[in-house]
Amino acid sequence: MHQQKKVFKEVTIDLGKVEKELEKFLRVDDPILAQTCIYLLKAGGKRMRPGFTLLSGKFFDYNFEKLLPVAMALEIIHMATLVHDDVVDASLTRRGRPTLSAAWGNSVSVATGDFLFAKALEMIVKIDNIEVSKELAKVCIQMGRGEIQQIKSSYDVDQDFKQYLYRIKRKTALLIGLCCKLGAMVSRADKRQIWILSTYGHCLGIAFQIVDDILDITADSKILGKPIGGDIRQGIMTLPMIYALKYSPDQSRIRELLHKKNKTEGEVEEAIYLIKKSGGIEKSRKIVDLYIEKGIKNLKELPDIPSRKALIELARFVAERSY
Amino acid sequence: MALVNCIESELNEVKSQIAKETQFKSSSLEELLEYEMNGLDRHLFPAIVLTIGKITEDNREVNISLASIFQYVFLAHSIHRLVDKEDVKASTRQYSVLIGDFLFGQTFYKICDESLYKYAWEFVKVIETINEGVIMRWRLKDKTMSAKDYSIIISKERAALTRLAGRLAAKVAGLKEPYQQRIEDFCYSIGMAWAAWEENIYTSIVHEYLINAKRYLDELKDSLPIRPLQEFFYFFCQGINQDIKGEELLLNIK
Repeated sequence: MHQQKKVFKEVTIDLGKVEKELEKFLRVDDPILAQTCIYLLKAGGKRMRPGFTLLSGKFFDYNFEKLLPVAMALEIIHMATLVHDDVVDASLTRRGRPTLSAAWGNSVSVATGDFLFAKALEMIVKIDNIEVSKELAKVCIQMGRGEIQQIKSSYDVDQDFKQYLYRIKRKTALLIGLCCKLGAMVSRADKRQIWILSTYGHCLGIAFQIVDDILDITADSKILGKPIGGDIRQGIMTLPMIYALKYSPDQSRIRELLHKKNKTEGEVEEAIYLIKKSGGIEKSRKIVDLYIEKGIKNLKELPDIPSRKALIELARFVAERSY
Repeated sequence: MALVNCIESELNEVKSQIAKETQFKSSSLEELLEYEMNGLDRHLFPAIVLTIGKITEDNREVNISLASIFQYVFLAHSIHRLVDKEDVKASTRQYSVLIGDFLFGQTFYKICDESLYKYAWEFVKVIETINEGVIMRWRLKDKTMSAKDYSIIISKERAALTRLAGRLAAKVAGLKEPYQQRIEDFCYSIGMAWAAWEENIYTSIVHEYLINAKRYLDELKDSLPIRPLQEFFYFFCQGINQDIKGEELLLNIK
């Protein structure tokens, strides 16, 4: 966490204000919703999305009052998707704590997620900028498509890189790209500048998700805050698996393991071992590096201010993170 | 069940718009998720908006969009509620969450149309209200629910949305404020009767709100050409298989 705090130091004070405003905004009347919203807020989280929005705004006409609702809405949308993801995956823990669905059940989790989604839109609508709303709406639809495709294609061991990219673009990259894009848009950047930051966020999002998928195989579950091997159990084909299926001498066994629906813990461990042995992790890391480089390549066109350095460091942090 | 004849072509447009917008990489919504719908589930929300639109025959395209939006909100919420069922299959649980989310996204995208964006706030607030209702139902799930509590729940979960459909459709149709209010009351009553009929817990609520709905229609009939709304009411009463009381109400309409 320390390294991340360091890269966000440009906007630390404003991120603190975002946090406080989120707490205020989610202090709602309904006693259950008030508890579930606060439970989610207190679960922590990296708050990377508001960070991206604020840092992107720094290059232009930075107006915190205008950026605040956008940053809050994007974080709330992210929270809502995590709550629903945990219902979809039947996850029991997140960030080392019971998930909302484990603690309160699916009905309350889904309703809380929907309520948060509405609260996020309430924030966005307040800005009264139809273009900002449209951008967010488009991303919400695509996120839905990506998640649906992920479930549709689970246990399908014939997936390729392109299909994987389709999913992770929608699942993660579009929202991070949007955080940067809206930060720039609200701060009156021109078209080219908006494109540069949007591309940066998009590439970083792709890299972020690949790293997430790598960590699901290689991380220390205590540091990660949840058990590893979740994707293998749920049949979600990630990039290390796709490479292992393609290049490993043990590919027929990997295929058999990944295709199987109800795996024993021993089989999950065996799959992890074979994927690590296949070189799939290293190949995936190369793709991470490619996206990080692609993302930061055009940043040099933007003013040389501390935020530029922060965005570059953030990209490196995403690539190297262990949680 | 007879459909409302005067809106047949618009209703078909709503259906094809929804079918087109809910296509997922070579699968349709129905192929991904088993979700049974009766005639009211399929048509009631679009029918509210379209019949109100027929009163003035203005803004046909906006009405069709508005009708789709209300159907999306209703569908998203109903599909999300599939997770409440015990022993729900894993795939049903997963698709119900994700398809519901997708439909909420689609709702917001359509609201971002120039002509409808001014109503975005009201949609957002009604989605909040619906979920407050869901949570209230959950809170009372192991208790005996009084008619009063039950009415609050269905008012939030369903009637708030039918009321908004009435209000916005009346606004889009360009009706004056007092008429908007009556139509809103009519639609709220329809929502209450519909939800109470579905669960069959308090039949008195069904009758109470049907009578209210009829009264609101009567109050409008001398000032507005409400034939489309009367047809809609007939369609609704048929949909909930109303007994003699319902038939009596209809005799006055036909």
